[in-house]
Amino acid sequence: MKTGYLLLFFALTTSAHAVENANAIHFDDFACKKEVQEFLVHWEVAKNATWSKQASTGKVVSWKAHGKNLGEWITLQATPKSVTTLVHLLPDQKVEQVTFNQTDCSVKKVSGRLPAQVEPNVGKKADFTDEDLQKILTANKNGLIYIWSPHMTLSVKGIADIKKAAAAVGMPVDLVMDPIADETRAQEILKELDLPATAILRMHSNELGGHSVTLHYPALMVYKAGVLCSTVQRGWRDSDDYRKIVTEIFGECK
Amino acid sequence: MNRSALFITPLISVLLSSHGASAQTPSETTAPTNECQINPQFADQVIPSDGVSGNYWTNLMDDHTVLFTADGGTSGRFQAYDLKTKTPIRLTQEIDPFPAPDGRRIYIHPSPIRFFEFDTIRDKVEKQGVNPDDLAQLSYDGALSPSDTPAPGHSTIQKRKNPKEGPSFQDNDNGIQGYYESMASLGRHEDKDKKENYSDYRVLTGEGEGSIKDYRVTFGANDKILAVTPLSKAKPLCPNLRGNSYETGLDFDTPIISPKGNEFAVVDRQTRSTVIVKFDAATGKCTKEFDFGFETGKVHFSPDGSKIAFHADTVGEQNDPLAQSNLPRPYVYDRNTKKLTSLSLGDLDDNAQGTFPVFRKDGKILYQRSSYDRNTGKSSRAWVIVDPNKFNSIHLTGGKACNTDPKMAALSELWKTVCEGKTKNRNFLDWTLTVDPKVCKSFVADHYQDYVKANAEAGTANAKLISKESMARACPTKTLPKTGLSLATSGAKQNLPLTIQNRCVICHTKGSPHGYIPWDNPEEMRKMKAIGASAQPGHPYAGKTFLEQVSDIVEKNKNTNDPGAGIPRVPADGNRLNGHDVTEILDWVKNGSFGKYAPNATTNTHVEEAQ
Repeated sequence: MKTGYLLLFFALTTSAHAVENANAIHFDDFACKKEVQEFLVHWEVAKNATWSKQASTGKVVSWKAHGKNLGEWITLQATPKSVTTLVHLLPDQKVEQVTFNQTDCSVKKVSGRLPAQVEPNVGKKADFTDEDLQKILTANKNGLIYIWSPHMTLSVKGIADIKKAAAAVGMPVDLVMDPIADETRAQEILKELDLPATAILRMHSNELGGHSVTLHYPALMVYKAGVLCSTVQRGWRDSDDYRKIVTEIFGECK
Repeated sequence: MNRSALFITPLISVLLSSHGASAQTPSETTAPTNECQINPQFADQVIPSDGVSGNYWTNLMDDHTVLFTADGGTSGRFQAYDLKTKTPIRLTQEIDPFPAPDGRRIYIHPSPIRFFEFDTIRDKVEKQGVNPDDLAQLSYDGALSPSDTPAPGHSTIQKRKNPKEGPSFQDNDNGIQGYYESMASLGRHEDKDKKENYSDYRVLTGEGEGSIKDYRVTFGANDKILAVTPLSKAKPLCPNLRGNSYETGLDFDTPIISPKGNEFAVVDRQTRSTVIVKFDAATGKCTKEFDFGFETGKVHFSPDGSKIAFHADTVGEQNDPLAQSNLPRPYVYDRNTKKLTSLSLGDLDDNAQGTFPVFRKDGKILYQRSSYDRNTGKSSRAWVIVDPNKFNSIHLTGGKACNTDPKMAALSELWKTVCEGKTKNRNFLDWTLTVDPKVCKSFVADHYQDYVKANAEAGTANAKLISKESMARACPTKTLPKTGLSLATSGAKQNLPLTIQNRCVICHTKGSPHGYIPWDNPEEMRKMKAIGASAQPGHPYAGKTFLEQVSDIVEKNKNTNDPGAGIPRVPADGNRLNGHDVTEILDWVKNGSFGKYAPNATTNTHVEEAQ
């Protein structure tokens, strides 16, 4: 165990109430912080990981941070006084949940598996998974991921714009579709815009999902040196604005 | 599996928590008084929209009858939906129409900003047969040039010479170009004596740097637009907030202005958080007023601005790790009480989302429920209207404050008991409120004795039990339209075919030596599997494999009238286990895709103590 890890890890302020004006965790007064630390170290969560607050109801508030590997996320749930639960989501859909007893900080672990990436219509690839994402990141190094929906008109309009912008900055762009899009509508647009079949692969990537790309379409992510930049740009822009945004995100990407 | 043990505790709790409402006697005849009861109102407010594909961008006209939306494709098709007649309406061939927030029957389209008369457009399309494509090209009888930015009364007011000529006005001012437009009301004035009838609006567009511009729209009878006058120059959005982190001025995504025009909500890309920004029209300066601390989808302000509806990720809503989903859920945030309430009905799972909630004038909220069935390839769309105040009381994780009617509570607990194999951790109240009436009543008829038996086992036999008739009356009274409702439970998420997710037959099938197939109990599953080898000749399962046993069970239930085999399907959807379902179940068994339900499973889901 690395002493002081937690203090460095969560050198953040503010309280952990339902919805407040801050996006941070205050761990100093938390019970069970030692036990929490052990799991975070064990899962190799980066010390400078960014914990993003999630929409939470009631007294238990959730934060999410990226894990060590692509598609790996940790969700931390806490009351104002203590961490109650850690959820470790792994790329292969495995889930580990650790619950902390609020009295003695003893822990219970439950492991399970989220629904597998079942391919409907056997023999036909339908999903865009973390594996697909990893292949793209590895092959291209730098590029764009454009998540769109047949039901969001501007996201369809933006396909041409993002392609133009990608060409302008010399990067490839891959299209990923809304996971619950209507198949018939998707096929219509595929034909209308003469898109490759991969353009209607449904978003079933833990990595992209963890970045909340399904909140609004289109959503644009940039990757640099084989790693996704954390910024997500939402909403349609024209090709010139897309070019500026991509350049800006790429420049700020660490 | 100890079914009664799981039943007893909540039942006692229910009976003890009736808050003065005495346990019902067999002779009582009153209707359920559950404060949480949203049926039948709820049944009326789930409106399938399968005739319209998509519709993510939603806004409501003030009369609550028309939902504005835009369909997919490279150009919009349907732009509105009449909730009364349940028919889509084609308007101009534009996207993302935004209605006036002051009740006027007009709307605007973006890029360039145009003001349209809703009824005129609808009449032209529906009664006069005008092609919406032509409307978009030919309907402008007033055009403002980029230099037209005067004070009221300036000569560039665009007046309509002949109100019959066209339905819209267009502003060619480049300063207010762009998509993601929204409109606030700065005041509605109607004075017959002075012959004044106009509304002032503030329009915000979110594209590029974003901009704001005020207009006065003068009306004739029936909200016919007579003139559109700019009240201000187009102003860039919050130049004072654009420091080093706003170099390009493009860091605000999808802004929406508040109904009063003094605030807007926006996703700040730098902090990945949705913020509410106060806007000073006089100075053009902006102040960040509130930071959600997390990202949301497009927000919608309540008419008075005190509440904010939006969709966001669902992580953290439950302690169930398998309850996580990357699909958004609807929420409402009360700025006064600082409480956040989930508006999920419990019917949202890995294949369904609830998005773009918007307020009606009466405080109710409408959102779109969208789902895609990965097994059948079919998608489903419905608009759901909920009262957030009532809804809060039946929130799946916050229902403790609910004064639950004992009949309703007992009924929901009975559901839970009978179907417990795949409904772990599920609050059944919402399901009870929305299940098909016939299924519900058949269920009560078949399983009421389970309720009596459980009370006897719990030592509460002397308590005043709820009568079978009373419990049946707690069932919904109206059929819920097909919405793709499915069980969103931890058990059901274990890679189960849709049939199994949706059919209670897996846990209380008649004819099994166990009375049901104990999918979620490995020990019971092992016993069941062993029966074939150990049973004496003459036993129905003697010598049979596990698969053959399952096959017997599901075949026996094929086309059965047992409501459990159809739950929660509605009759119109084929309320019976059909041949296809049987095949699907057996294929699933043959493929060994049991997961934790496998008869020889040990610990796919397990609990262990940390060292």
